[in-house]
Amino acid sequence: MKNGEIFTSHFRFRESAEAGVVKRISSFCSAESLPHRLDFLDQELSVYGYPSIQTDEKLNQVALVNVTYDLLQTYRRALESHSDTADGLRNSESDAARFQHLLSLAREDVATKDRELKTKRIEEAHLNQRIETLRKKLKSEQEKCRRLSSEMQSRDTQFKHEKKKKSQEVERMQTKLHQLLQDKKHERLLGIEILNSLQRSDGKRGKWTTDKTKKNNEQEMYQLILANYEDSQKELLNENTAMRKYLKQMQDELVCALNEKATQRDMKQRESRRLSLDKIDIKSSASVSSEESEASDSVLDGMFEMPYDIVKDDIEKSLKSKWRALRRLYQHKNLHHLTEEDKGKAENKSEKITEYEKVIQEQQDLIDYFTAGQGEKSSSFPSDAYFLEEKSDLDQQKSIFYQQRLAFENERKVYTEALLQLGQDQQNFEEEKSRWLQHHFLQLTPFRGSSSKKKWSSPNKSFRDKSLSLSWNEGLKNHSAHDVSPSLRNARGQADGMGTSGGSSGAQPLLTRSPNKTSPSRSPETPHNPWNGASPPIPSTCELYRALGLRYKSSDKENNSSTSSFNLACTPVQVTSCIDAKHGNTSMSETNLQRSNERIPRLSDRYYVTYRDEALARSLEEAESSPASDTTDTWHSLLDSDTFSVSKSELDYRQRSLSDQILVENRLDDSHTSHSD
Amino acid sequence: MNFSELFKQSQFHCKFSPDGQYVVTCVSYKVIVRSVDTLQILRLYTCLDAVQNIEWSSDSAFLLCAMYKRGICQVWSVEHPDWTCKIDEGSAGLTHAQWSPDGRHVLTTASFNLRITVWSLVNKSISYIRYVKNSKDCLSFTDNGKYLALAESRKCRDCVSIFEVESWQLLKLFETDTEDLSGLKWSPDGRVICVWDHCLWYKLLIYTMDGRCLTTYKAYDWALGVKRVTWSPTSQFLAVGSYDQKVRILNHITWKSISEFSHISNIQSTNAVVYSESETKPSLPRTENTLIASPPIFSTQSKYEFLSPPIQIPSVQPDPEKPNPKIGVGWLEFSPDNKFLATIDDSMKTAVHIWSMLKLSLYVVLLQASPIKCGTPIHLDWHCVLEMINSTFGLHLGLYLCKFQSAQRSTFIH
Repeated sequence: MKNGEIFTSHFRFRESAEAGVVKRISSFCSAESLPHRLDFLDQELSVYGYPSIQTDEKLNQVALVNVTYDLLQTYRRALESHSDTADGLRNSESDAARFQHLLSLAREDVATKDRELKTKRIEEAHLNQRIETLRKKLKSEQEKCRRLSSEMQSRDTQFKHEKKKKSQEVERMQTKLHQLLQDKKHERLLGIEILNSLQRSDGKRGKWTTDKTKKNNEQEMYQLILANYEDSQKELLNENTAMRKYLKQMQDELVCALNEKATQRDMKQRESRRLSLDKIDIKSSASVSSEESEASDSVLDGMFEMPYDIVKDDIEKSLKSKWRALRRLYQHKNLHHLTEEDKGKAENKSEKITEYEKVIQEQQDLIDYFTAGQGEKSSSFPSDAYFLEEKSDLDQQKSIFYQQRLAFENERKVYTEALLQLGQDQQNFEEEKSRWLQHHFLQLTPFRGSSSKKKWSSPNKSFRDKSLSLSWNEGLKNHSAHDVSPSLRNARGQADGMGTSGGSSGAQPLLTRSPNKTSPSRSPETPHNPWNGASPPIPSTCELYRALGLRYKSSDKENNSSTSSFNLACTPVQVTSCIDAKHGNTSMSETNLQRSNERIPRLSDRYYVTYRDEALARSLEEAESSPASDTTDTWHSLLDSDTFSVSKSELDYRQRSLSDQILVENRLDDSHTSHSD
Repeated sequence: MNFSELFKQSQFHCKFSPDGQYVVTCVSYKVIVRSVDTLQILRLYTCLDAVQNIEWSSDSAFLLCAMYKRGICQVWSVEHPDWTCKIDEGSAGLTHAQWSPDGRHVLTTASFNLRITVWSLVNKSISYIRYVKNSKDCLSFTDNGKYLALAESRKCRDCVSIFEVESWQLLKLFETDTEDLSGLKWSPDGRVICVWDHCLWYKLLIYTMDGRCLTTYKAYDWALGVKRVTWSPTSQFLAVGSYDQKVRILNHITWKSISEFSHISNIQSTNAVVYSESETKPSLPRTENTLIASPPIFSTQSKYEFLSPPIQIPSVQPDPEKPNPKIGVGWLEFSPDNKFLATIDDSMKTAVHIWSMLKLSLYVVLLQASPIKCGTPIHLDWHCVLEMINSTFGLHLGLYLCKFQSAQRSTFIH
């Protein structure tokens, strides 16, 4: 409080206010008046329903605090509600103001409307007045008109009268003048001066005018009149007969038309009866036909020559009925046609129309395509869509075909390489063998098994070589043969042929395409067993490999799973990789190989398919003479790897079989030696 | 088409004889008769005064020259140039002179329609016909020339008297149901007489010779009525031109109106062909020019051109203050073949409407370059008009409506 002085005046003011509050509070109670005030407070609080804050005349501080807190809470709530109500009040006030404004506006509106109404009323009154005046005017005008017309009439009569008088006067004057002139003329004799009288134009002499001639003239006149009448009557008669004739003709034509219609109608009715159509229709048509018969009754020709006033009604009636019948027929016919025949026709026609519209639309499209397609290629796309499927199919087949071709080329390459390598290997082997034989020969007695060895080895070897090379050649030639590995079959066949009894080997599935399957590799050995008589343990592939010095990874697996169900996907590649490792073929990257691993099963499947469709492929090749250059590089690589892997595996298999044979030979040799021993 | 040299004439007095052998022209008091073939002067007569009217007798043997101012007529014979005849009406005055159809009697009308005097050249007899209404429209001979119908006014009542021409005997006299009869006309076949009332009352009556009224036709009331009436050559139609610019065609049996032809100044319909005369003024007169008459026309050349509708025909609205308004159909003529009707409305003086009687519609409108004058004899050459209507080259046929304008000379076409 004291250091508040050093603060700003604002703070001072606040402090002073606070001080005022403190003062106000402190003024209520002092130390002396505390009990009284407490009592007072207690009473006051009790009035508000609070419990007493005093217990035994002493201040219950807890109660006081509670009460104070509650009071404070209540006070805050009261404040809140107060502010709310204040807000509400303000809102309602503003609303009220708005409404007041609206009310004033509406009042103004009403006032203007009232004014307008008044003006309108005034106008109406004006107009009414005008109407009144106009009516009056009209009346007056009408009266005027009437008066004028009557006036005119009177004037007219007056004028006529005057005219009459005048003309009478004129007449009188004329007669007078005439008399005067005649008198004058008599004096001057005739007014005509003529050299000599002329003859009449007809050369006859003039006749005396007597009563007889007068009568004759009159008679002549009447005769002329009569003649005129006769002539006119003749004319009329001619006209009349022409009319009658035409009437008759018209009737004939009507009857004719009606009869035609009736016959058609009868036919139709018969049909309709046969079809047992609506009875009502028949009834109505029957009634119509009865009327028709009445209508088609032609009035006799003589009737037309009768006096018209007598036959007038009949003729009119019959003609009317005819017309009516004709009209009804016409209408009926129209309806009929519409309902039956024309509907079908209309349908047909509408169908045709839709067809033609389609054709026209197509033609239009084609025209559009050809006209617009030369300018821009993009527009040609939609029309191409008709062949999209075929095209895509073609593309697919093409790509497959190219893949196959590539695969075969690769295979061929690989095979040739492998062949070369094999040849080298063989040469090496031969050398080794010869060395080994020499070694043996040197070790063995000159008589021990030498004949048998020669018997067996030399033809066998030559045959084997020959067959192998042949098979290779065949394989190269018929690379599009059914089997993926013709050489394999050949080799096996050779192996079979090598055995004296190839019974069980025929049972072997020829189309086993996985070269690393153990059964084919083992199969060539089975025929040897009976020949051996004894049962030497058949060496497993891994043993063979081991014997050949090759690394065979899946050997453990094979050992473990005697069923020898190999994972097709992984084994060949591993094998090939082994081969790679052995032959140092580094052309293929490891990644490729791995990728190819994943693809093998599918590819092998595809091989099946594609080789079956070999004819198609060839035809495709013929059709597409151009080299396949659009296949993607990735595909190339994939295919390369695939085929390569496959071929490698085959090669591997062959090698294995070869080694097996060698092993067998060796064993045979051994056995020979042992026997001979 | 060749044109003769120009011949002098006065007051349009130039007439061909009925037999087509002669042509007569008047130059003041001189009467010149020429042969049509050679155009050489055959006769030359000298009258007492300037001739005001000239008329051929029906047999082409005599010429009647009327000098109204002097009240005398002179008759000349083509056969006998020495023969003379002079008819003097005297103090009664002369307003009209004409031949009777037999060519042996001359009918002269005295002034104030006092009387019609019939002068016989055969026996010098004189007959008077009195109470004549007027001599122009109220006197009609039958085509065979046997009877004369004359409208009279006796005791302020309109009558029609029928005379037998040969004896000039009054055969029949009958009253007509008219306010003020202003004209009558025999039908060409001589069966009926058409009588029409004054223009104040539109009323048309058909009477037979013995006075039976066949019909009364009334198109409207109050307004000015009939202006002119024309029979068709076959008596089958009666065309009535009236002040309401309409022509009504009546049937000869029922006497009912067949059709109404309205003369509208604005032609909208595409059915009617409008030929408009266009005048060009060439430096040299051409022989192909089809114009007839006067030298000033010679200097201009005119031809007809097509006009496509709508066309506004120049028309003049009459002054209502003045009497005898110049409106309504004042001239009508049927074509000889009864197929067309040519009309001229007085408010559209430059236009000749030609109506087709078969289609009962407007067919052709000829628009002349200059108005057709009233009071002058109008001659429509139907042959040429029909040729023009039917021809496709109708543009150069030129002016067929011969207007005897203020020309002093005549030219004849070969």
